[in-house]
Amino acid sequence: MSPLERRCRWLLLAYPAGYRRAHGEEILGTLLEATPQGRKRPYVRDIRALLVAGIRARAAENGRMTTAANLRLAVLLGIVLYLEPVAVSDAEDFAQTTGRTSGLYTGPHGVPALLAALLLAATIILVWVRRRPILIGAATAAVGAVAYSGLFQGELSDSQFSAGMDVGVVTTQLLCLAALMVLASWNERRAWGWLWMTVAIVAVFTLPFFFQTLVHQPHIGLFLILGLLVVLAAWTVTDARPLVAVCTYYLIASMPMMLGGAIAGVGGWFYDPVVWIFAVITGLAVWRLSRQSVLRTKRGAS
Amino acid sequence: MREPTYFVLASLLAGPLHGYAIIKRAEELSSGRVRLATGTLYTALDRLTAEGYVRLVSEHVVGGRIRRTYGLTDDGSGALRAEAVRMAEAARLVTDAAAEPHRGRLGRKPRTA
Repeated sequence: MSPLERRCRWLLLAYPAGYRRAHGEEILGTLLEATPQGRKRPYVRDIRALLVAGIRARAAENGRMTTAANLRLAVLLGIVLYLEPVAVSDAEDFAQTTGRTSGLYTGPHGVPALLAALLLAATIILVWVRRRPILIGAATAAVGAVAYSGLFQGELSDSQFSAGMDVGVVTTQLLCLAALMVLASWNERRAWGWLWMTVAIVAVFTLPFFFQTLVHQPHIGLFLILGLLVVLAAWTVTDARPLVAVCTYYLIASMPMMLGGAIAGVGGWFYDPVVWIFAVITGLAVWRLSRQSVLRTKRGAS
Repeated sequence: MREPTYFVLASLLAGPLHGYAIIKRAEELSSGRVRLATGTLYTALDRLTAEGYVRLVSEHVVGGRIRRTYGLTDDGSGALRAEAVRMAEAARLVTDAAAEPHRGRLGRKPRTA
């Protein structure tokens, strides 16, 4: 493969996968014919036109789905964004149990924690496989494992607020699993690329905490998260779903604090400006999404 | 109708062509003024196919890659001619006025003092 063809193939990634499968080779052939022999890079105007055309093709693809279908996918992604680190955390709990040296650790542990991690991961993957009976079986088993390891196995915290938070975390996870089962009942096509995108976003959210200790830059995590939000806000020009998903994730992630506050009778979340900022961003992103989606069936039409 | 679209349709008047041939023909017809980028061409072809102005005529494999040939439909031919007539009428407003310089812009004699 020539350097020109390799670069052109990279450019074609601007188009959605389905479009690339249908037209990728044809566009590539024309692009190579239109570029003089011996040249290693495509012309700037060809690069610009391909990027613009690819982004337009992606936007057109969103327009084939209704607002409700696009919103369901975005909320589903937000839930998956929340559950993926939970599964990793449960696996860590198991690892901590097997490798712990002190008796201070009192959280979920042992086989139930590992089972919860595996069942959560299986449920997430089954949402994409679209085998609903198996998904419901796995999600129901995950509900049991999460509830057992979270509520009955570990010791609840002493303070009322922290105990409320503990209950809030488990309740949020159970609600997320229930929502996954409901959302998966719509048999829409879910591209695997979306699942890998959530894995990448979770990595962006999680890895900074590892780098933080390496590079001694306490704000690196915050910068990366803000950077991600800026990129997703810019991407709403083409597709508002990733931004809706990340906002959904944040609102779900703040639920344990809300529930903990409600149980302790504090309700401090109400005055948390970040929650309100995310609520406003979510509203704007959903509005943008409704503009990008095709309208539901016309009034009176079947 | 935008100029690149007009020349894409015009390039297919003589018969079906594949992507690169459309780019070359449009450049020739416009005396080098319209140089279609590949991405622009396929966006235009997608839109024109959806509107029923262009149709896929044939596809075959050349050098291991698929090559599709596109042709003009009757609707596309009609739309192109209608656009040509509209542009000719618009041009005539100017060329006729230039041929009769003693008349004003709206065909009235200029006022004299």
